[in-house]
Amino acid sequence: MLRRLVANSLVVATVFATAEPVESARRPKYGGMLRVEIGAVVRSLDPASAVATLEEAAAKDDLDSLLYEGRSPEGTYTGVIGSGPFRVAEWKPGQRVVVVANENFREGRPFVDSVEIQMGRAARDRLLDVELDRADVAEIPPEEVRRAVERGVRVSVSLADELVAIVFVPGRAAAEDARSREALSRSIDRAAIVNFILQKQGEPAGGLLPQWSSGTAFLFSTTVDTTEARNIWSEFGGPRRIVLGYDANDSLEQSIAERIAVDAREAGGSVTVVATKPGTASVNTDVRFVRLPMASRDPREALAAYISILAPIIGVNADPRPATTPQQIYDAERAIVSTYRVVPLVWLPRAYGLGSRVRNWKAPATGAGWPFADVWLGEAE
Amino acid sequence: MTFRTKLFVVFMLALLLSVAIVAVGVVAVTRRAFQDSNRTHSEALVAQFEREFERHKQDIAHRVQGIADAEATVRMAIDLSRPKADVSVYVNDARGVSESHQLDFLDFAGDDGSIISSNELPARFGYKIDWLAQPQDWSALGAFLRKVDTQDGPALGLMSVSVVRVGDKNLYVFGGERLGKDFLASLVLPSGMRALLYMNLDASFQPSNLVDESGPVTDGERFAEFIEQASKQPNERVFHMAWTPDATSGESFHLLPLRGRQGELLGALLVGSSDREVVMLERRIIWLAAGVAAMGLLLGLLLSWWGAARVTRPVGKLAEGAREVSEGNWGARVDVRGPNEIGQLAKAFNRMTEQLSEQRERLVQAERVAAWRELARRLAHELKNP
Repeated sequence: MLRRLVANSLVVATVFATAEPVESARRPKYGGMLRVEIGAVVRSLDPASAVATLEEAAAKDDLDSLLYEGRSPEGTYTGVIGSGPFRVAEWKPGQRVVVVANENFREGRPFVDSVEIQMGRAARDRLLDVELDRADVAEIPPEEVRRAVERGVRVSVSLADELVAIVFVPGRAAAEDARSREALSRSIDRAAIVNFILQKQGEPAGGLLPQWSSGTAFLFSTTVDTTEARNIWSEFGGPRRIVLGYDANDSLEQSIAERIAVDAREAGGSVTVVATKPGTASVNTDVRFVRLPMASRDPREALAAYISILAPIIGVNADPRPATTPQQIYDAERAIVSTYRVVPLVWLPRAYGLGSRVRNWKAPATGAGWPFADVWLGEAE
Repeated sequence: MTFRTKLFVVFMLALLLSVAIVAVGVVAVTRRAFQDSNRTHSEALVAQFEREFERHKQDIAHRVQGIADAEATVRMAIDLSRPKADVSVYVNDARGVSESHQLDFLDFAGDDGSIISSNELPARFGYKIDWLAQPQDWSALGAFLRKVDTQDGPALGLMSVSVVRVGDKNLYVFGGERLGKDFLASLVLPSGMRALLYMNLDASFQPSNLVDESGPVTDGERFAEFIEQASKQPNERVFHMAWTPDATSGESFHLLPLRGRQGELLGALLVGSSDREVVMLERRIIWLAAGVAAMGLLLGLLLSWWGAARVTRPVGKLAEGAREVSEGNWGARVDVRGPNEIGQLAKAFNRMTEQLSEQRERLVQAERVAAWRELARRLAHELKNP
């Protein structure tokens, strides 16, 4: 039960649109199949196999949390597959996976007999399925939370623990001009992105780590500075065209990209947005999106993970000395952000729509994976 | 050259000249008639466009007013009139409302003109439309032409503004339709005519902004001169365009400037009328004239030959009679009849030769009498004086 205690203690924010059913206060029930729908696609359960996108990596990590018991200091799950709370019973790569309860799990058998996870479901379908009780748990895009609540769906929202940022592609002319990068960063109205596009779910991001983790996020400016951006772009004698690529399957990236283009234009810049195939690097984009879930609540571990991911993307060498003190963490963040090669935009929470049968749901803690082992199923309402 | 040949040539030239004069006259009259007809068609089309434009304006103003009067919009206005109202709730509303009212453009803007929701540029929320909040009787203004920013760049829109007033706060509903190839496709054009629309969206002439009902116009850059002239002096004008050396490719254009709310030139409608039919008709007439001339020539050849022969034959007989008289044949006669001048001449000639013969007979008789008298006188003298 140690795992559940830890998981429960890590839950900070859980939002329910409706009151927790009275039944949840009763004794838990064993049995039943938990039906889960996610948007990501996992193509292989092999730990050695490569993942195409960061989204797939995050989903694979969540899936591993059900199958593995141990975890390395780097945050990856280790040990024997099936040593976790569930074992794989059925596997259709990229489509569906069914895991059954591990009777011999060291922390105790999960309440549900099995979990069926449908992969690659569209956001609209996920929301509809959970609304119609065809799914018990479904990932919901943060920008859809308000609508889901208005439609009477129980919604659980985690802490904002996924960073959405844009990174300049090394070697591109626009990426090698520090002033141009700075102008673009200053022209972006992050508050508008959070308030309008994300419907007030999430936080504007100026640094790599959120305020609740590092405590120093407020030192990074997130305010739009159109005047300064215009001054910088005017130095060039005219707008320099920057091509911003977004994942063609990601409507949130598209919306943010279009807003960035509008902000840049208002500041005298020129940003062209283009859709790119997920997992493929477009040769024509100067800037692209990255979505980075936090690997850990610990700011040191989270920052180290970010640096290891971002360093090759932006073409810089990671500082081999790990940041340990708050000052070092802040300095390391500042060193990366001040290059404007990585432009943090917003912090996103993870949101889940819950069916009426779901009991004892706790929003997943940062870096802890899905909490399906703690969930039990009651009667449908 | 004989008299007959001269007459023949004169007849032929007169015939050719007549055919040519008739052909040129017919071509000129036909061309004028077609030009008048084309001008009438162009003017009718321009008038049709203006009527269609006015109808569209009223329709758009009506639809935008309908959105403003809708229950949902009024509720939005009431909600936004409250202190610390959350405008983010409505950020996606414009899209659905514009689809249901079949509008290409729709913006909801707050009391200060800040965009709450935009269909054509959804990411522009929060930015202000400065001119929207300025004092203006929008309902009296009706629909007007305006350049609209969209995700694909600027576009030309026929727009209207309606205001929902709650307390001392206004909610602006700003919507309209795109003016482009679809609008052109709605115009019914006679054969040989086409309508082009230039959207004055950039600082200088851009060929891609000139469209017909199927899209950007080929060789659009050739209109640059006329569009730039219209930009400087936005008046109606007519000009001619020769696309290739072939006269059938020529096209006459009637340019109608389209102005915005402040009188600025935002577009131009060009009604083109092809010269093809006129030129083809001209060519048909010319070929017809040539055919008629050839047939006339052939017929004229025969008639002239016959006419010349008919005129010169009695003259030739007279000439032959005169030649015989000159050779001493005073008894020569010409066989020409008829009441005309040649006939009278022939009669006079015959009378003349007849009189000449009689006078010669009388002269011989007189000479003979005189000889006999001389002989008698000499015999009498011999008898008296042996």
